Amino acid sequence: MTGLLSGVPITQKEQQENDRHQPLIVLAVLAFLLVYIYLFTYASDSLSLPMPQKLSESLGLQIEYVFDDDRNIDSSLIVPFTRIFENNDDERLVLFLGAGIAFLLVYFLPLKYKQRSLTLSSLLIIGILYGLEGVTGLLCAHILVYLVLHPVTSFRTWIAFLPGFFGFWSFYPYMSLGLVPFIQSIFSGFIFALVYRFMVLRLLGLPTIAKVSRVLVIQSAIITVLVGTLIEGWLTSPWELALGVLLFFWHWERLIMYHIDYQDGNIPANISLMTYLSVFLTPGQIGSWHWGVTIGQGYAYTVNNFFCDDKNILIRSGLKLWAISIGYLVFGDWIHGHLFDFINDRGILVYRRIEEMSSIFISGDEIRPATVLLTTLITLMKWTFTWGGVVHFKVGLWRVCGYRIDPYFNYPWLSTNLVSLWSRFTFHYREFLVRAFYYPVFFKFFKGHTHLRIFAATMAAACLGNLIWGHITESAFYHGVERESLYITLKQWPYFVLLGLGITISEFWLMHKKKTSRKPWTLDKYIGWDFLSAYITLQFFALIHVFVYTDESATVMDSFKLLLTGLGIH
Amino acid sequence: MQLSEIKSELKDFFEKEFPNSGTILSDSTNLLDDWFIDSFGIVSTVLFLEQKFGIEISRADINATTFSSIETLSQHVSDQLKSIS
Repeated sequence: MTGLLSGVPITQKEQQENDRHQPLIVLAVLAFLLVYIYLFTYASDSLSLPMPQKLSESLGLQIEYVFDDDRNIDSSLIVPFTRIFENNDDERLVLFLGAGIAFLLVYFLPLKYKQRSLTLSSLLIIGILYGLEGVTGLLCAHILVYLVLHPVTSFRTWIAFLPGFFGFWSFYPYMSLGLVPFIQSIFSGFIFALVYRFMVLRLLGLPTIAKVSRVLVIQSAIITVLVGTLIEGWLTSPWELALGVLLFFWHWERLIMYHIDYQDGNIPANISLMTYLSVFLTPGQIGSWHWGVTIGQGYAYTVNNFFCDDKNILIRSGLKLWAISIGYLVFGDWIHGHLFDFINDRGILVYRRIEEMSSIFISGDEIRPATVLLTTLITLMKWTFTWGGVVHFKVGLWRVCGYRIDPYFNYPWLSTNLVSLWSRFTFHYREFLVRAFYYPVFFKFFKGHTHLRIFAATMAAACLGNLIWGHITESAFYHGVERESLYITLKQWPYFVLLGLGITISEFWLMHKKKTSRKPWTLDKYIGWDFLSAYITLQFFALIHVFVYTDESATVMDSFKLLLTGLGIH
Repeated sequence: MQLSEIKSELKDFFEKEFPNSGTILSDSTNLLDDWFIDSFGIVSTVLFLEQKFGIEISRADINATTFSSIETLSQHVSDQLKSIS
């Protein structure tokens, strides 16, 4: 597990040695991107080439559940909230073309320009996808964080001009560019620089205020959710955030991880603005913010893992993930659809969505345990394929751009306990929860009581951290800062409690079980136990989602009854 | 406690707690790449270090440099023991 503890620092000399060109690798990356473009965009139609469905049919392949009405692949790899493009196919085209440009720049530019080129490529892609308001809002928010965490003095005070300048454009309708708004934005920049120089900087010189300010900017996403909800309660209308601020909030995991590195003294005091931005802005952050969000790692992981291996080996590993990703994105729905039909044809009622089952259940219809177990398991399987497809694309893109990034998703169906599932299903999110919530509790409380210590730390991470700093913030991104979405997420609390308890029990079991050198899935007489353990692990994880995907009118008690029905108790 | 004793204790612990047939554990084996499976392995190791050597491990000690091998980890334990005495 390379990135378990963020890796060890890498020298420039080692990075130089890892920077050797191989033309075939370049061609392979471009070929993969062309496949993505062909399968998931309208490019083939524009170029008068046969659409993917037509090509499949001409080869005699009639594949169900795979193609859209528009005859290309129905992909979950989306770029939401762009508000510029009419359909996701065009957004994907921008993403794939942008990824290609970013790759070529980072591959061929000298080492000192590589990370900068990734930041600029990302800003370009974000600018095209989200417009001026998106990119300037994002820059404004990040530079504010930089100025609070790394106060600038003397000639570097010019950086304080930027939040005011970009902040103006993040609220200004960019369609009406002109001299007057340009002068206004310059004026706004100067005002902010003066306020920073003569007020903010002095306040940041006071240790307590500096500490509070750092927490405020790092936790700004969750603070905004709470404030926004209060304001909505006061004004009775949802609070709409500027697009760039919303995009910034999507970096909350990385911000918290960056802050942990900051507290641990892992970030150089004189870090430049470009280096700071390179931690947050890489093309791998952009693909499908709807699934997989950003990879929650901070400064140390990002810097230590850049060009730390031969870049061509890294790229090959990225292409391998892209190949698997295409498999999941193309055939996930096909496998799910056929399995769904197969089970229903055998006379076992299975619903396509857990919400549908929840709705039928609360209307009073009888639901059999097999229906609950299979519906939850098959739903889990469906979004496992989607999740795997999207995060493999993202991690693959990071690797293609020269980062040694651990797989986010690592064959979760091989997990024989919940601790392993937690790691295999969402490695980076789990690492975020462990570093931000598990370790602080583990190293501070109940030191003389091992079991209580592990229980408290696990519940802090898997239950509290996961609910508040994972799902609530995520909900705000999808649904806006409103009371209703906060309420819906909080109503899912039993899922988080059961997940935390399940992981805690698994940890205790791992601590006390007899240790053997046998690894799971070894072909011997115990292999049957591996299958059983894997099934129980996946079924438990699937079943507790009855608290997440419910009918809107279902109460927590209704979901409990449905859970018990699945267990054959109710 | 001598550095060699600490190394020996750690080696015994890793071989017993995380049996890994097919890999020979030496003082310089990269624990993060070749031995640990996940963060829970780190947690178990911390519990062992605290209970066995009576030292206090802080969150900042959980880094790739300290945990990279038995060599580095035992040096860290030795330093901690010296600071206690």
